[in-house]
Amino acid sequence: MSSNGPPGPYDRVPESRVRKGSQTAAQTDTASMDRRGILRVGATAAMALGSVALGFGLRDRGSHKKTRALPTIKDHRADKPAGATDMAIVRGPDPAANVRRAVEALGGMGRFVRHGERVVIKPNIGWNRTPEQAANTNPDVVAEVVRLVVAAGAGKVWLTDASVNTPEQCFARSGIEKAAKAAGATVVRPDASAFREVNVSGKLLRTGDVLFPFVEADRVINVPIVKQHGLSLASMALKNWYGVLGGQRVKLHQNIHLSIIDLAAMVKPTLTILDATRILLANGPTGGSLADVKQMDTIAAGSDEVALDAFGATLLGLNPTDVGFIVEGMKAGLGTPQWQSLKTVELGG
Amino acid sequence: MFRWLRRAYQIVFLGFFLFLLVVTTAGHIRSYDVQWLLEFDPLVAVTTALASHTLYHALLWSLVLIVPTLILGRFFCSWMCPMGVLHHALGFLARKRRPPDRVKQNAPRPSHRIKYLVLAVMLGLAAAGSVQIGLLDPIASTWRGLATSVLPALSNLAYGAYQGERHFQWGTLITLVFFGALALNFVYPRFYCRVLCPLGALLGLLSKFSLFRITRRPEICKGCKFCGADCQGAADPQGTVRATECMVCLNCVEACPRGGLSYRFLPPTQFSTTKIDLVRRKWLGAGVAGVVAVPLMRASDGVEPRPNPARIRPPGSLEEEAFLEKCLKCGACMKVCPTGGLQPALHEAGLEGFWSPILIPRIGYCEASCTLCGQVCPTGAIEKLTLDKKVGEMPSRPPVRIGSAFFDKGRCLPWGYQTECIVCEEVCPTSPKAIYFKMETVTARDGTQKTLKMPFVDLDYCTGCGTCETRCPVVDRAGVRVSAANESRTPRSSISLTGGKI
Amino acid sequence: MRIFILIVLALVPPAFIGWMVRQGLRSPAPAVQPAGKARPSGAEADKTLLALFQGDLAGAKVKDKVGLYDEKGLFDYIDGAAPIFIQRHYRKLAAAEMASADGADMVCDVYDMAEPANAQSIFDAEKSATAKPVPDFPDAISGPMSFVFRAGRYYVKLTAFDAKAEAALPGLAKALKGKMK
Repeated sequence: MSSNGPPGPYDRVPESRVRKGSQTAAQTDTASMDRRGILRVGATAAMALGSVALGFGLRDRGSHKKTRALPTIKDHRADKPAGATDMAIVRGPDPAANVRRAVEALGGMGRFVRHGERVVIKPNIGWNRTPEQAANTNPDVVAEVVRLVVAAGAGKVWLTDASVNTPEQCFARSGIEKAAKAAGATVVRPDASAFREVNVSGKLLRTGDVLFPFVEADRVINVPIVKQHGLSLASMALKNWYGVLGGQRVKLHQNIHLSIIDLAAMVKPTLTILDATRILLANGPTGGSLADVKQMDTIAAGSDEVALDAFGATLLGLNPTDVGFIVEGMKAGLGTPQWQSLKTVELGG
Repeated sequence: MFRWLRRAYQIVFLGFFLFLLVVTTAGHIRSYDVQWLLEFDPLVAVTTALASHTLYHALLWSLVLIVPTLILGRFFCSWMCPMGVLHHALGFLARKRRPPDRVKQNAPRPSHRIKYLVLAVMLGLAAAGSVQIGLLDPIASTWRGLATSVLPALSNLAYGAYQGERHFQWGTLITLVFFGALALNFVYPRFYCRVLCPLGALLGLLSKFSLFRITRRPEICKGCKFCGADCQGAADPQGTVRATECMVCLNCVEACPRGGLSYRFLPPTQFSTTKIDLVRRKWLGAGVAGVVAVPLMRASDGVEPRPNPARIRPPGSLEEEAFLEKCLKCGACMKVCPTGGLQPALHEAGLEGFWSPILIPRIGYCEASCTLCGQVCPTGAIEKLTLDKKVGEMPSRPPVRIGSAFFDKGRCLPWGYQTECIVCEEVCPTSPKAIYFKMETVTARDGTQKTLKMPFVDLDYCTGCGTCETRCPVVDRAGVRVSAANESRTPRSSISLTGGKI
Repeated sequence: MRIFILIVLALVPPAFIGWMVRQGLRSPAPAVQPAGKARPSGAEADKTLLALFQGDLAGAKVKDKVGLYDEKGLFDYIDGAAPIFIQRHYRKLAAAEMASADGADMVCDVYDMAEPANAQSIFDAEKSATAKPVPDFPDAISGPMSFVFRAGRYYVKLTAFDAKAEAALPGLAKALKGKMK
């Protein structure tokens, strides 16, 4: 080691001066390929291989669009026993009694619901209104339908609708949630997670998001109310199927009559109970003023939605063939507007 | 000698990086993979994989950097990183004259731990689905700074000789951040690299496993500290060498007058350390903060449900949630866009989408036969499109839509001022044209009858390209404007029933 | 040994950059031609069009002659309605005044839309709210004094001027459709 002032850049220590033989020298001279060194190399190699494996494992293989087959909603119609009534119209002061008598006239709920089957009941719970305002189905009617289905031995009874106003308020204010729960139904709120994408396979609609009970149920029971509607003229049984849809269903109004039929053809319900206890004659489908409501104390039931809607149209003072979706429904083979030509039972009271 | 090699690498890689950046224009890009460096960037690979649970295939290149770093240490920072080269050069210019002062400048500091916390926060954000790494990643930041600030300024100075007149909204912010980071070198050299860079932090973590390290022989060392005078990473070569900070610049090896420092395979561990000196609590805290920040951010301005009409994304973009899991805000798409329409968002895409690309049709439109933005996107946030897929074939196969045009009848010349125009129809690039006209008779101011061509938009054909808005003669707010509604990447955004999906 | 490593490392950047530049200078894939077929040759298609008006047309006869209208002529014939056809790549219109079997006046317009998709498109576009579909006749609508249908690449508009002619329209339509292969 030179001791003449600060070291210059080329003032290197000759090898001969390094203390040889010391532990330090030996260690600093050669790579430490002892056990510790092997462990280190092993750790690094493991990290390297791990990164490579992770990289190739996570690698995306092409398209993001996972094309999985979409479910198709099945046909829920029940077989018609020979000689059975097609349609029942019952008038009377007690809505629940009307429902009972109408279903009885058709042959009892047992004709439509077998023991153990899963059933979904679809009332109209679209709007934040009281029962008196006739914007939603009458809760007593709904409760009676639930009771009859439960009594027929259904394994599961769902009750749901995709409301237009906020669901919590609609379900509560209509009185339907309380009445249905008391009668034994499982009420399903239309939360975002409750919808499934399905094939609609209609003339207009290819796919849509639908509430899961309609995908999973064996039987579907439609319980609509009779109302006037600004665009489609009326909202009754066929139009009630808007309420199975989520997504941007406001686009359906661009072709309202054909879209109504696409949806009705997709669902093919088992039984429809048309609530005409109170009907909405004007400012529908939202209503609001009691002056627009008429007390009719009528229930109509059957499996032909076109016929039931034609009957409902007459209650509103409309000519059935003036209503676009009734004509489209007939053309699509969903039923006939000549409800009088069916095997109909009318019970006054 | 190897130090000269390192300098050669720096110059060559910076030069190549700049070349590729400059060549990213519609006329010159050919098939250059201009984003190779971002594809090599392990931080990009790790964060996008964390967020989207897949690794975009081009990002597999990051393994080419990860494996050598695991073996050789953090050489990238001083051999290849373009930001590193710029900061090294500036740091060299800004360094103090006397060696003892430089040793103090390059001493390790507690603040050098901050970059690990930054990394933890970024990884936390990514794990919760929000990739914000592009804001601080050195390569993405350099891309963005040069592409949206420096090159446009130079081009505009040369009367637009390079890419025409280019302007990027609020580009001053990007300029300030980019040059601000560079200016920090006047505090001490490589401030950004030591204190903030999350890529440096990640490479530092990988260096914990490095088999080659700088080591000092204490029996030769006289304690002159010349080695520490030019240490780039503040790795304390004069003390216990910090392997996680060392950038393998080899300045210390060349500086030692006695040859006491060397870069070697498996040196004894007592002379180097891989400790980062951060309590686990701080790491975890930073990571958790990142994770928790995401739902909080999204509660204020969500990805949906109230999409901003100005959030018009480039064609081929993924749906917004997936887009934000990948977009690095690197600015490559903004640079290559031939009309200069792609701009850095401010508020249009929420806090998460800050500086992500949106189309501002008043500035530039989406050229119908162009698919360059998808070609340059390094992470696949904008998917590569073929021309056939972008244009489609109506009426059977719809095109890629980025929005729709809507007429403002108070500003449109025929509608509002009974004046013939229909430039919008003329420039509309679709076949058949999405803008069509009908003859209508109106009464002019002097009472005479005029028959005019009145324009309408057919939403089934409109792709939202914005050519109409760009060319509309009403120069400030156009008479026809594009908004993001009906964009094909978001099924819920569709307006028309055509196509059959609710 | 060190020299060897030095040389290898020195060669890496030029090799890498060389490879990148070679990749970059590769010509991009040829621009994809827009899909679809070109329109049928003019003379051939004209002959086919005119042939539709010959032979048995449910007793109807062409009164004077069949006029052929290309893009320019279309404006003269239907004025402001022309663009919606031209946008849909319409090729030619064959129009004729006709007399039904019992002498009522009709006008028959046959548009050759070059492709079935274009014909479908114009059919959908022109559908009015009051027109009703025709049973047993797909892609057809009938309204007061009018009958419109699409068959293959043809779009046909039949117009009547009195009740007698209106009754003859479906028969003429069926006959025309039968000739369109």
